[in-house]
Amino acid sequence: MIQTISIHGLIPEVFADENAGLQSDIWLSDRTITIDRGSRVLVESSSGKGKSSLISFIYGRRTDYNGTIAFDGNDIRLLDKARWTALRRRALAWLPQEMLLFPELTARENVEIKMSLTGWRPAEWIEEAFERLGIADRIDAQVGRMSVGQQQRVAIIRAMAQPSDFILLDEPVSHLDTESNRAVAAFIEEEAGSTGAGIIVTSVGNPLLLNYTTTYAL
Amino acid sequence: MTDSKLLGRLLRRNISPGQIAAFAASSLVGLVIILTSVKFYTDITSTSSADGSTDYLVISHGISGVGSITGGAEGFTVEEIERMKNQPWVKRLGIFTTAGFSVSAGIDLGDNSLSTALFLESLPDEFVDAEPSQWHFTPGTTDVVPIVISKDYLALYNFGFASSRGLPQISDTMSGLLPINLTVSGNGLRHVFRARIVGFSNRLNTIAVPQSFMDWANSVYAGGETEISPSRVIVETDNPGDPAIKAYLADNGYDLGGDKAFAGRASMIAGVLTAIIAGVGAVITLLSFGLLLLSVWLLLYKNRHTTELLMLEGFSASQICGYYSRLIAAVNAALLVIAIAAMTAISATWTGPLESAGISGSSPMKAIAAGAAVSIIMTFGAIIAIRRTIDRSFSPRR
Repeated sequence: MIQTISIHGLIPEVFADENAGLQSDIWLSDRTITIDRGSRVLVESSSGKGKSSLISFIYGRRTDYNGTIAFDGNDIRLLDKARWTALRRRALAWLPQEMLLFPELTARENVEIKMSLTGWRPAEWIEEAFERLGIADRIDAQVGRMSVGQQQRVAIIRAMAQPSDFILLDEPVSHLDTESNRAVAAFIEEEAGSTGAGIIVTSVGNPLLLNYTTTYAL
Repeated sequence: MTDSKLLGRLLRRNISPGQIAAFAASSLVGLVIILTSVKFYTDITSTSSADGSTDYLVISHGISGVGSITGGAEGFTVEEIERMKNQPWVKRLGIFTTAGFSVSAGIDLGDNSLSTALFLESLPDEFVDAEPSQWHFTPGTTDVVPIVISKDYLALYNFGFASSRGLPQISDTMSGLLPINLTVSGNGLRHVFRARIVGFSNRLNTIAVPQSFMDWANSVYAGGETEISPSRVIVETDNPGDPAIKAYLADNGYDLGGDKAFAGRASMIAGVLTAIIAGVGAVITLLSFGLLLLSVWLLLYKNRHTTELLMLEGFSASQICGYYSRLIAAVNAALLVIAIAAMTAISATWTGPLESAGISGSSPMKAIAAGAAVSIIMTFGAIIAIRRTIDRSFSPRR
């Protein structure tokens, strides 16, 4: 279980050379930023400031950064593959901006493959979730044939198909209207509430409609 | 749908049946050649030859020419015997004891009597292929001396001597009934023994009597004469075709009795030929292994997006490797089974000719073990390659 994520002096390597005029709450922060389990954090910025990089660093997908990210004080650079695999099944839920669904599988199968790994939630949970997010009629469609907005919701359901301490959402509603945004927010809030997970959301100005405890400008 | 089914559906994308077929065909050719050549080699060097004589070699000390003129016998020294005993191809070694007295044998065949001067030798009982119950002599109590003679001598008598002289031909079974009188003389003594042929030997080209008789007769009739150094020894060996034997004999100027020398040479040539063929099979197998590795890398490269994504989802590298490993193991196992079947079918074509040459087939286990070893090495090699490639793609991108 991860209780806190702490970030100190973090900067993507690509920004390291041109950090002169950097105005950021997170990049190269002198004080340690601590995000607690149960909190609701929004990271806002315009495009190209490294939101997706931040999420990828925390999820262990990329390591091209300077500075430190730690889970409960342990530097995540030191985690081995088996540990990352375990964290991705049990502690870290992740919604990448590009969704990264398997286009050759159906929407349902994309969620099922994650559930087969985590054993989280009963089988009927999938249909309920599709119903709640308004895509029940597309549940057996091939993901490759779905609209981007539909795919985004499938990816959100997949991210929720596991227990978690932190939910990392990279621009989760960039392709959704306000109504869908509200439905997704309620769904995520409910799922996070059941496990006490913290939520980190990025946005370019159209955030997921949650009650955030902290907002950072990147 | 289960985990493994969905995983399989994702991972088997981009698997090319053409590439599998190309690997399977080349690997099969290589395996069949290796298996067949190993089977052929084990068959022709099989020690269980039909007449049971290939295990024994009679080695004689070379004759330099001078000794044959002066009448002095040249023989093995104690050191030479010891050295030979320590050769890796010698299982057991027995020394021929020659008689230090004169012997003549007479056969009474009714109207015709036959009498000839002759020589006797003895060798340790365990080397004599005669019924042990008949192969003993106790001075004073046994009145019939058992004799084993070379089968060649019987043939020589039957087809060379008897037919030209109008003498009756003698069969194996009849020979035991022949009344033979052995006249032994020397040391001022002369004695006639009754003797009986108890067997014909394929491995001994001599006239052999029990060691106990020879020791006793030498002490009585050769009396006091200095012991003659042995000039012939018999060696039990597992592989009479072993080239080391030939080399050792040539180096020391020893001669090999009988036609086993030829058998050894022939099996050496056959061994070299099969080694060359097996080598070709190994090269083909190696190439097919290269093809397998290339196909694997290409497949993993095409599927790298999927495998990376699966690992981001929380699948372990072993779960992903497992699918490909099982696939390769299954293909290789099937190929091995087909190759074994092909080897069995091909080897059936030479069983007949070899049997008529007096060589019975060998167990296919060595060939199967060789094929299984090749197959297992290929499978594990490929699995290690897959594992390393997938492990690399797990490492977070920099």
